[in-house]
Amino acid sequence: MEDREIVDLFFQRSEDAIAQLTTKYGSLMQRVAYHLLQNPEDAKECVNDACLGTWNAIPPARPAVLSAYVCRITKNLALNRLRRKGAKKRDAALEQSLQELEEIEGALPSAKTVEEAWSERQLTETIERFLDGLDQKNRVMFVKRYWFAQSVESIAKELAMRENSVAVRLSRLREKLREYLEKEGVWL
Amino acid sequence: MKENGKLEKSIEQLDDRYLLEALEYKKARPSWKTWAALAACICLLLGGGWLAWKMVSADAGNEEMADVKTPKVQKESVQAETTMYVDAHELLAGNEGELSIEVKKQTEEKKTEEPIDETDVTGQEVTITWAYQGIGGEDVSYATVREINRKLKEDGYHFSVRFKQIRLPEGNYMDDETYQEYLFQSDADIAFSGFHSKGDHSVQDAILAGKYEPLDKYLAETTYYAWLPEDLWKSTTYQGQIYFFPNELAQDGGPALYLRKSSFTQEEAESFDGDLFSLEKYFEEGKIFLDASADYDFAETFGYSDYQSVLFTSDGNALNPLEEERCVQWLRLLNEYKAQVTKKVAHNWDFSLSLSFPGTGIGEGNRPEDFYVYQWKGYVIPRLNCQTGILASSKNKREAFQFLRLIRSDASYAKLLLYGKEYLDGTGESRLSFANQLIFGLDTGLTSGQREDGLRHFSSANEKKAYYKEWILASPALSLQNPEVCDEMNVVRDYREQLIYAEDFDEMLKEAKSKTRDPMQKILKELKYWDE
Repeated sequence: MEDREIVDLFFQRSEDAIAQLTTKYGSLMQRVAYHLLQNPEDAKECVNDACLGTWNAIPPARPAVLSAYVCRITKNLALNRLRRKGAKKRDAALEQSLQELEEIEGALPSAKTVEEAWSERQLTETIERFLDGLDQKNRVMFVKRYWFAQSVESIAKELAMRENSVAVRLSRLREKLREYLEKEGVWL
Repeated sequence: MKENGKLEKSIEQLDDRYLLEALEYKKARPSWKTWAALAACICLLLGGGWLAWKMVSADAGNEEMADVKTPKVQKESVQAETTMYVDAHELLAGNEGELSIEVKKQTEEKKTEEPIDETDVTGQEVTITWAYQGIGGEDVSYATVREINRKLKEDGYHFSVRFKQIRLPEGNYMDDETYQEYLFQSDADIAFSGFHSKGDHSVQDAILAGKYEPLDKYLAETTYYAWLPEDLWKSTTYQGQIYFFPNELAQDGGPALYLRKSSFTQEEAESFDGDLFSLEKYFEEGKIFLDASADYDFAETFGYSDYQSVLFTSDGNALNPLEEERCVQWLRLLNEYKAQVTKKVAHNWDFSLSLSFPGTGIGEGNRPEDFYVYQWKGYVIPRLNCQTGILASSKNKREAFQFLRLIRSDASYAKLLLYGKEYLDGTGESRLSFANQLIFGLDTGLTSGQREDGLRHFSSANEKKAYYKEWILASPALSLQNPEVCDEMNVVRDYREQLIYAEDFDEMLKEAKSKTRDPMQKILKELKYWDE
């Protein structure tokens, strides 16, 4: 079923909407949740919550890209679940990816005032420009690592690459991003 | 004051299109771009040669390669029985399971071929292993390997050779980096450096990691260096040392214009003076075939050397192609007539701007002699991919060098590898293929006598050098430290291609200029000459 038709079912408050959503994107949502939670049962519960979350959000929302939309809901719910469990329970891959981002942050200049600091929106737009300048494979790798919080091992499997190659590429990407943000004059 | 986690939060807000792209991205497969690049190489291989043939045939006399002494390899007659290496092992990688490093043993034809047995073995004191990246289709038959080894023994060499093809099962194309990983785990002596068609810098990284043996000291002991034009050696030099036997394919010809004789008069052909824009009148008549390679090689018709998507002027200045007026004009013209531009090799085109003769092998009416040709000069550029070198881990480096030199200087060995024993015997098809030529990096000057293959042939090293002197220029990029700006290069190159097919050229040009601004700045910043 087309995304538009599934969204229409949500608008009609048809229970079939959840069934169609699960059929089409259930495994994707499960993957997103599992990458973060590293526990199949937790991931399954998270997907159920995400389906309910989608039911509550549509309408009024009418997402342009349903897959990305449900991924966002699933990720947010998974992160909330992790927060409830406490930082110590967080998955190593997520920890590692956050640490890598923090290293970039650490290398960027500090704003002296609130006004001087870049907003998240400004920063997002700058990162999007950076991503636009990458070739597709690197862009995908970056998003898989830093949005989906996938482990290096998992990315390597999905992209049919060696783990070491993925790790080296990610390291280069971080360095490039740092350089780019510096050049753009980002203050945090 | 620094707010932690801001980067993470900002990444969470990335537009849906990035998430969608990541979700829909499929693992490495032979994409059309990959195959287009490979096809372009095939065209280069097949067509480029014909041009030289046409040009040099008039004075391609009987001068033998005697003006450079044939290297003599020290002959040692130690003979020992060894079995030819026929082995395969499988490794797990990726979520679909098997990657395999295969020694050539699983092709269909093997079923009808007599297997190697002990009596065929001519392996001797040393066995050299030559590893290359399998793409499916290329092959060296057992009969050929057997014959090469028989000859080696007969000629008194103390080594034999085996070939190891590294590829995915079912002949699938292996990701360049994965190939390299497997290569360096293997026991190979001689290695193909990998296609790296997207221009990554894995080969440079491998050299820096000490994976390849510098060849300078071996070359210093022989006369082989003198066989090739010096600029070709520069193309495989990195940080002052030569790492590979240079592959001449794609280095030995500039773009050319092909006009079908049945559609153009000789007068029309002779009136063409090299001005691309004067071709517009023919566009109107729908007579264009644009070879894939011409997307980004037309800049040479303006006198630029194109390297890393940067245009190098003869005095070493570097320009952004999307800021160069004539390049943009030409792209605009192609865009205007994009309905008549095709990348499909077909019979119904009347003229083509291409790096190679685009009609080879596609049947009657597309023979080289059916066309008038106008050729521009080409450039030798740095190239570490698609080359053949010796691994630093090899325990048989000297023998590996001897064999590489032999295979590139003795026509009888070169022909065996290029065409296959069966073809030379008249008992089978020619194995001439992209792989045999590109992967083995043979010197085509050695193969004259098989001119139907469309390869570029020279009857002497001096003749080859004279051709290079007249037709092939040294790109200023040869003097560069190899810049590691491959991702940026791909961004620029992709836009140059997209501009031809864009619905709204000006809109796309605007986007292209904007999106390539940073990558180009990075590229230009990284371009440093050795003497700076």
